[in-house]
Amino acid sequence: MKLSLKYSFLNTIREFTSVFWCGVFPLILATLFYLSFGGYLEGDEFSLVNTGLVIQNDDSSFMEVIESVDDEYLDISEYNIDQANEALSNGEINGYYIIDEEVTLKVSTESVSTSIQSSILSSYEKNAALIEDILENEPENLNSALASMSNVKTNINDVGLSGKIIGVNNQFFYALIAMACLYGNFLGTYAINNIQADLSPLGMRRSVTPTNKIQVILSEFITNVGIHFFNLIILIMYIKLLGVVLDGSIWLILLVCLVGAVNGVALGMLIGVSCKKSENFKVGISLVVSMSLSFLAGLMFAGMKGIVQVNAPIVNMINPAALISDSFYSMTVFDSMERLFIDLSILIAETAVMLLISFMIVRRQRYDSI
Amino acid sequence: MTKIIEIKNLVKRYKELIALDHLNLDIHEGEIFGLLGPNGSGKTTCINCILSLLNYDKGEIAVFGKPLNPDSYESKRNIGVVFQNVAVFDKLSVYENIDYFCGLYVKDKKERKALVDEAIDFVELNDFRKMKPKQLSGGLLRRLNIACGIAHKPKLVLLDEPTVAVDPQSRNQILEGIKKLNENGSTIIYTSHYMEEVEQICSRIAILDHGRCIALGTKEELKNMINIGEKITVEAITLNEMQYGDIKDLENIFEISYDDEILRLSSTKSAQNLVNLLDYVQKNGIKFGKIYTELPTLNDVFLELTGKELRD
Repeated sequence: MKLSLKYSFLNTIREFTSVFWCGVFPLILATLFYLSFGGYLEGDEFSLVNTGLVIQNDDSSFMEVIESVDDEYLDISEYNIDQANEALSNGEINGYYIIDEEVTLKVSTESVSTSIQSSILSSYEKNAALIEDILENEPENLNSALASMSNVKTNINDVGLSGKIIGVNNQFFYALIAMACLYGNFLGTYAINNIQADLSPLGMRRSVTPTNKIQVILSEFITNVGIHFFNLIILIMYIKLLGVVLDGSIWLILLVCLVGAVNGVALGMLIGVSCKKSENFKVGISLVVSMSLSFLAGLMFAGMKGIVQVNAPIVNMINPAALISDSFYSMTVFDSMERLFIDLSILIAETAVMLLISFMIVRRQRYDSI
Repeated sequence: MTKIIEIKNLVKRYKELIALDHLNLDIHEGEIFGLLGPNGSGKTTCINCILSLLNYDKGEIAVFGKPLNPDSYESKRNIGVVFQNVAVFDKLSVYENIDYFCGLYVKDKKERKALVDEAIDFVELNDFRKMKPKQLSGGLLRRLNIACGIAHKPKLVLLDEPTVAVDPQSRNQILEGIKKLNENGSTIIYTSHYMEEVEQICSRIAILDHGRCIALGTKEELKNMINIGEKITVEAITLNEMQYGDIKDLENIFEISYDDEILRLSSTKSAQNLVNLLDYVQKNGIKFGKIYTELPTLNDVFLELTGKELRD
């Protein structure tokens, strides 16, 4: 086993296809992304949320709140109710407040912008209830309470996106890491080609040796996952160096890389055992498969994942590139690990299925034709 | 004599094509057994069936007295294979390739190192130990292919057309090496469509055609199976029409050609054919430059048995 691992390792790292596609190409692509985005990778500033205001009672204390957030978070324009509805329907504003005895918010669709508008309102409502309570029970503390509540900005920051904010360009890099993970399929395809007697003379020679076939496959698999895992670590370090926001514990990042590497190599093994064409043909197939999956995960067009989510959400649920990219996104944006673990669980399940199918096919040790 | 391989009634079909048609063969310990036949005659299929790489439709194969299955590791340990297509890692050096394949048979590091060095000496690749396969010439590459198959000193070596596309010098080295392997105790199965090679090294030969064994025996036995005797060639001889007719009518002559003062005769078996011709030439005062005879070849055997040339 040790000898197999050693020579499998040497043979793989000396192979141009594996070194270039799995190691060098993702680094080149990361550099190109970085140059294209001109360094716009930091968390985005809040862009002002276009908000309408329909005032039917200008005595409302909500007017003070609105004044304090105008030009900070909201870009406010005053309308009558008809104008506001029209502005909302043609997309000029994301929502509008109707200020009367009570304050109401009307929005067209839910989004980050409308959640900011909603947060401002709910913050106001909570404070209004609190003031009523203070007036009733501790009127002497009203002034100090009002002073502390006047800092609406603090409240808004707390509820803004319920987590960290990253630039949209970072998502390209998450898709790039996902693509790099899937490029492990070159290694898997190459390994299978050299194991199967019906695919190569080398496979024939290895099949007639007194070595358990599963052991041969395992040594190739371990070597390739190891090499690819190392490639991914280099890539992660490089893109962090470029300034891409990639938060989360180092162990979780390594875990996602490892699962991604295993998934990529397993995908390659599946491609390898599925057709009896030439090695170059399979490299072509591997390239097409990984690029297609990465495209759907938003590698070339950031909005692609969203379009897929709207039209065929199941694709995002099973596309390994989307799952890997989403893992990095979740790790960076959300405090909760739930989404990350769901992504990883699906990836692990997919990997297990691919490996199982590959092993079942490879286990067949006699062939009808060679 | 111990049977190393016993093939009984072996049938292998590729869809409609019958690659092996009720093949029966016994291969004995210590011999160099030749499988001779044109391309597509079933030689490689036979080897792959013996090695348990191919499923077959009917029949039995026993290697070292037992059926060989993909997990017959004990039997496989004693088998070495040199495939028709070079089967080495492109990115590993000569030494690393031999070490890797030897390591699949021999676990002890010291023993393996000695065997690898011996194999490198055997195929005379000492000056190329660190080279990658792509840096080697066709002949050297074939020798590396052989070294990878025999480094673990197997009792049985199967060589499937190991000299294809090899220059004459390397071919001779390979053939000498195979004889040496045999002298060192290995039983050899050698497939080729080069009859000269098979004649040169094999102690017993099976001629295959369309998956059937059409003749089996030593080269002498095979040649005795046919009616063709020697071929006589006379150079720088001038004949008139009558003399040409007389020679044509000599006893046992069944084929004659005369072109550019070269006379070629084919005769059926007889000890008197050359004497009869020389008698006639002497009596008629016919002058000639050179005369020589050739004994029948395996190609003649194949030609007579199948009606076609081995390389057709």
